[in-house]
Amino acid sequence: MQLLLQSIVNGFVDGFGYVLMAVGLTLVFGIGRVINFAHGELYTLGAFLAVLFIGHQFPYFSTVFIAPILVGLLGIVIERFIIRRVKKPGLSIWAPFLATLALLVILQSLYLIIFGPDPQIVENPYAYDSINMGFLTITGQDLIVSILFFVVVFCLTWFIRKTRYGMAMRAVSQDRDTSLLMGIDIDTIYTLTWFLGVFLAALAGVLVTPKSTVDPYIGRMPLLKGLSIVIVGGLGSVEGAVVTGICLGLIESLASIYISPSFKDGWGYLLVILVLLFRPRGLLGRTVRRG
Amino acid sequence: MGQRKRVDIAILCCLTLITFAIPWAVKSSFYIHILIMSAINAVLAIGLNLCMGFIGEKSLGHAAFYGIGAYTTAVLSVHFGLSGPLNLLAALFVTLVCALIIGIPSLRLRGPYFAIVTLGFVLILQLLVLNGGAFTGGPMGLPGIKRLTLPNILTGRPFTLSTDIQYYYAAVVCFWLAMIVSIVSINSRVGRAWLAIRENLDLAESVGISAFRYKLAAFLMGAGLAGLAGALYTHYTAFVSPRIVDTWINVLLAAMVIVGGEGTLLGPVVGAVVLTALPEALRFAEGYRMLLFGVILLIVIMFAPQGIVGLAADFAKRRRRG
Repeated sequence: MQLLLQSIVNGFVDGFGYVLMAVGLTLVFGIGRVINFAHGELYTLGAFLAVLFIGHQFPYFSTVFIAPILVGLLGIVIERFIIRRVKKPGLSIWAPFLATLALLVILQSLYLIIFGPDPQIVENPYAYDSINMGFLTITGQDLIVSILFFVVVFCLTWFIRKTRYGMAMRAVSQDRDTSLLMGIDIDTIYTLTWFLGVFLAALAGVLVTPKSTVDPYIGRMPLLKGLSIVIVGGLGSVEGAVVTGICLGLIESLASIYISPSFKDGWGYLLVILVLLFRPRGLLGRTVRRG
Repeated sequence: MGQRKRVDIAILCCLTLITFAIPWAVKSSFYIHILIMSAINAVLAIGLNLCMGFIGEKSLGHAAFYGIGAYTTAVLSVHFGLSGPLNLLAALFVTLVCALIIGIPSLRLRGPYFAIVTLGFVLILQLLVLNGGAFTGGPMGLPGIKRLTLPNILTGRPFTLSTDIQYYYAAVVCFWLAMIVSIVSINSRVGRAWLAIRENLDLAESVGISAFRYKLAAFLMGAGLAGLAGALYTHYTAFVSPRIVDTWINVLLAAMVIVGGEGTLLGPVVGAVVLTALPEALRFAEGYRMLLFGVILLIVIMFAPQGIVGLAADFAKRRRRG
């Protein structure tokens, strides 16, 4: 019973991290129409900045906000100077995808040059505190992840549903050309979307990595899991990503205890394949227009 | 069209001469190794191009078939002591069966869904291989694979491929097999159906083309070629490790097809040779090697997104117009 409860809690916390990755990916895909393969590297950059800042005696809570904002600014640079250039009409819709792939290689080798291949630790003052409820232990880091997760998802939902910019983002995701005709500044929306998506990836990096270590290659698994969640949840669907991400965290946590720990990273894709066999548009996905 | 066809045939003749004559010009075993890897990668890229370039569905799971071919051969060689042509046939057969199992559900999907689902199969395969224990060698891989033994038709005695030059010729034969499969299918009814599906799937289906069957055909052809390439690679290196089914290889293969020029006959070949040789050519940069590789890749995508062959074709067209 205790094991079950503990693994459910762990599953939820893992799931929150996956959701942050997946929401960023799904925003960039739903609105920008780009599968961002460099998303995992931006997650890694968030983690490395956290190592750097906390190493220079920055308080943890300001790091949690400053590092993702800095990475988000890099996202804006990527969108303005690379993605926009390869998104010309008449070119393959896969050119932006390949550009993000090249970025993956570039960023990963830069980390290797700057930070070296050895695993580093995000020193976090709250990692060793824990709340013990007799049958259940929650670490301080898990609590921070959970609280920030709810704050961020609430703010994001409010932003997308209620503000003018959020409405514009939804409009662009539905129909780019009509939005343009309605006077929406599409370029600004793309930039904003990339900032938000990349911000979320880096936030996931800052929040999740204190539980493990940071090296230049940690971005791969979060990317692959993020992609599988995005597909199961329905490409472009934020609600789908939230639900699926938490489910995936729970499934992984429970399956690695009750079935097999070595297959932990495969469940996401097994789920993808099963869901897509029966519901090719994802669990909460709408019909996505081609092109 | 007539002139273009003549140019194509001229290029193919030159390519035949070059591929078979190279061992006389190149003596360094390091260069021969790069050439063998280029040929194997070209087989993979040609197979992937059938699906990516001619049907327009981007598969990110092509390395799965490479890995299945390689591991089938390795397991047969290490656990059952086989090293003959049966290995190649078994690799081909197992790969095709797996391609059917993977292709039938995933080819019903389109666009990004298809791309990511096929990527998922590679991830699952990699986990299976890593957790396969003594059967697959786990993370350490399977060493001690036998060299390929082929029956000699002239003397009747078996003949073992042992030198790099012999493997180079084996890789070239495999490469031309892929080229012939590609040329024949593109210029047949099948190839025309593929183009119709790529340009407009709904229209193609409405005139009676069974899109699913033709897609599956391209997928299977590509997979079979990849399985053969995997078997050859395993016999050549005498070792196989889970790195062969790494997601990175898929990405590199997709990059080869796009950098070379997707949907063209020679594009994947050019892409495979360039992207195999480039990391080696950049060795002088040491720690900055992959950085330079990434930057060059990015520049090609930003300034020549139609690929090298596409760029050359555009250039030729512009010159002809005057």
